[in-house]
Amino acid sequence: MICSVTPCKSESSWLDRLRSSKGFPAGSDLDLEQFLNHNSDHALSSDAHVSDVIRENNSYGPNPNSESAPLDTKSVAERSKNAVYSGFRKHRKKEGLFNVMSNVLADLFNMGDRCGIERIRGYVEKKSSRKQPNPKICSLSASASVDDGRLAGVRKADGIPATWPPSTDNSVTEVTQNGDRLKPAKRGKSASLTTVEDKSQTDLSSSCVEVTIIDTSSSVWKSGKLIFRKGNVWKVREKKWISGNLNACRRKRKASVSDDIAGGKKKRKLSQSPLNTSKEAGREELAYPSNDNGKELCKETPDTGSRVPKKRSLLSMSPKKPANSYSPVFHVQNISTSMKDGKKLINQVWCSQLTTYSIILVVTKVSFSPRRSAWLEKLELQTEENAF
Amino acid sequence: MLRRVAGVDMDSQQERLFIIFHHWIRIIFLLHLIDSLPKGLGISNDSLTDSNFWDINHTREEKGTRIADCVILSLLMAPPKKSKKTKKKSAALKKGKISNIVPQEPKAIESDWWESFWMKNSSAGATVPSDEAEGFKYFFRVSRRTFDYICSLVQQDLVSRPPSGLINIEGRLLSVEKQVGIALRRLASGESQVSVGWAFGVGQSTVSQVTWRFIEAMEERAKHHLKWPNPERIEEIKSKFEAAFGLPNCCGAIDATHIVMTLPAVETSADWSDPANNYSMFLQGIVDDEMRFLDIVTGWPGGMTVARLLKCSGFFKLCESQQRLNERAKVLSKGVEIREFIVGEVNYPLLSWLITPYGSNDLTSSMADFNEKHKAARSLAAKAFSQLKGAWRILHKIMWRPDKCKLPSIILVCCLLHNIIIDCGDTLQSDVSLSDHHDLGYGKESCQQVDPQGKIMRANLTKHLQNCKQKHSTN
Repeated sequence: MICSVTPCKSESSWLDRLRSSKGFPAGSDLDLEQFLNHNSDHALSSDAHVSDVIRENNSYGPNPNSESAPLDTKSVAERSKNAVYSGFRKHRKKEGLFNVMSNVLADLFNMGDRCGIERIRGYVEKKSSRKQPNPKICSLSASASVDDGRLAGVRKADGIPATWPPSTDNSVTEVTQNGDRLKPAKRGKSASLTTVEDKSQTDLSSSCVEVTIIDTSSSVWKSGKLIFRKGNVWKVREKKWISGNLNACRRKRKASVSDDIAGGKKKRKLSQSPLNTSKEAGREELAYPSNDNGKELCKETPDTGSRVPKKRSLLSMSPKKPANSYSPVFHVQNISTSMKDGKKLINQVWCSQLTTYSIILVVTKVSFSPRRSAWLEKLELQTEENAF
Repeated sequence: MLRRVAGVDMDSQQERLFIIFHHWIRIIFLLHLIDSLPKGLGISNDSLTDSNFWDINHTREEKGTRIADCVILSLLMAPPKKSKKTKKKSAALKKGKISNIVPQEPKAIESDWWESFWMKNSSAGATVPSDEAEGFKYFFRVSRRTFDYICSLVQQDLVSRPPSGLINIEGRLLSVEKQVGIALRRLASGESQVSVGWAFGVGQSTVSQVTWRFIEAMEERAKHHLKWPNPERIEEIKSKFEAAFGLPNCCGAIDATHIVMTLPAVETSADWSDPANNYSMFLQGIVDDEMRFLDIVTGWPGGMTVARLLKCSGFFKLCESQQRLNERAKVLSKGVEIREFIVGEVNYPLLSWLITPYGSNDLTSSMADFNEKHKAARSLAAKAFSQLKGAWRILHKIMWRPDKCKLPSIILVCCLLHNIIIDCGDTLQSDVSLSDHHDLGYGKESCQQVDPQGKIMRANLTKHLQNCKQKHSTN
């Protein structure tokens, strides 16, 4: 019957194509009786085919549809099929009609889970879904099958269920593999996992602290020192204190806004000292040859005097400061000219940032020249998040 | 040009934009970001009289256009000659707000600061003395005379000169006395900058600036109040120690305390963590018989041991290189020589120039006597630290994330002020010093390091004390 539908497909109208795609016979002279007979036969035959397969697999063993099967067996099977299903024909007719109608309705309307309806009715039809119903199980694919038994063994050893997919979560697999790779190395050093972790912790404890020492027994009271600490081992190195810089720093402070006592945290945050109590820096310095008595370290380390202007430049509201690319602050400089451009700019700002950010408009320089069409010479827009 | 702009048809969105634009400009005025905008924007009453404003406004009224247009146009209609002024003023703005706020003619320096402060704060608490002189000491820890001396020390650095001088809320320049008062109150009370500022009628930032300027000035100009004494003074100290505690040739007592602070919970702060699980900075001091600091070292992390702190100090190096405590040895009876030394706690090593007490096990009577005398002598250092932390409560209160580069300066200045009080003959109020130990919560882990020469020294001192006791009993 399906074959009867297929040839009409190329030459029939859209209505025929629709009918054929839904399993209805094509043609304009169809009445209800014909329609019902046609569909019940179709449904019964398909059901019979499926049941045949099941029954034959269970009871007869060899497949009667296979060409190698003897003819006698095939005829016996057909006969027995007719005998078994003849009693249910009337009931099947109604059921087939219901299925067809529900399919049609489900295509026209969103009827919810069609499979659910079928499941309720006890009729399971295998329909391929566009999405994988259970991704983890379905991802057991070629890559998983390629996987050897080693990983499975590792997974079992780690307490991971065997059904757990090996390649669905790459990161987890990687960790497992890394752990697998690390373990022999540690064993090779005859050290357990915990000892290695402890060792890494002791490595972390090594640090370098830059301190300012005031010692009234020294010729210069104030000095900078670098303290390298690894566990209980403390090493102190001199940090050359440039007193001139200190005085210059003081002079600057006196001339302008001076610093807060407790405001050092801000300053420290802003100053990007490479040695400023970072353990990485400490390790690097410890790795240096020690014949320089710390003088090189002093050169690399910015003194406190150089921090002050840094802080000011960063904290200043100067519109000339380039905005950080990661910050929501942006500057538009040297916007010329015509009112049209200005409107464009404002529109851009309106569209892009106004809804999310508050805007401060800073007009740094406004001048007017009647000969030119450019009224607005320099307009800077500074948008700051949560400015108000 | 006006017509062309006015001829632009504006839809509702653009009209909204212009209104928002108008508000932006108002905000700019309020924030004082730019004071050089054309005055015709109609913000202040003064600007209403400006000719530019009226010209433009009149024109626009005739045309019957919207107010938003007027704002925009008045913004854009800035006279060209004002641009230079704008540049100048914006440059001045970059230098600092103060220059912009300070009036052209400096107002009178605030000299009656104490009267107003006393009026405001005399009834602040029940503990404030009713007497004004006592009240002055209560707030600033020093007498009026010592206060004036401190002012004279820092006068040159703190004098306010326009335009950079600091001002109070009314716009009057802060006098040196008031600045010193602010700084002393901040150090003495340890209260927040806001509280201190409220008491003086200044802002928090002014308190911050003034305190730090005072600290810097004191660091430079009060150094002579903290120095190792000359030989004459050393002899005086020795005789006082011997008279008071029976310890010959003792030049002072050493102790250390922790200045506790809070630090951010990051890994780098761990270096400042001490055995009591605080973040702290060490202060080691050697005091004389009058509890004056003769030598201090500070800035080292509190996680160190005291013995290590000593070894890191310049005093240790000087003593080890025979440059200090090596003046004149005292010859006791039977030809026993006692060199100059200081006394310290059990957490210090026993050295030839640093004598620690005996351990608590198996003590003979002579040893116990020695320990008693020793304890009395070294308690001077503990008392000094108690007074220091009690008088200058900024050291006693837990500092909130201080700049560890600046904290040593604060500690030093507090020690300088402590010495100035002693040098000027002031006495602290009786309830000022801490009632409990200056380093509460820190155990004294005994140092196992023993120098043979130190052991001999300690034995000789014990014998000497025993002989003295015997002589005393026979007499």
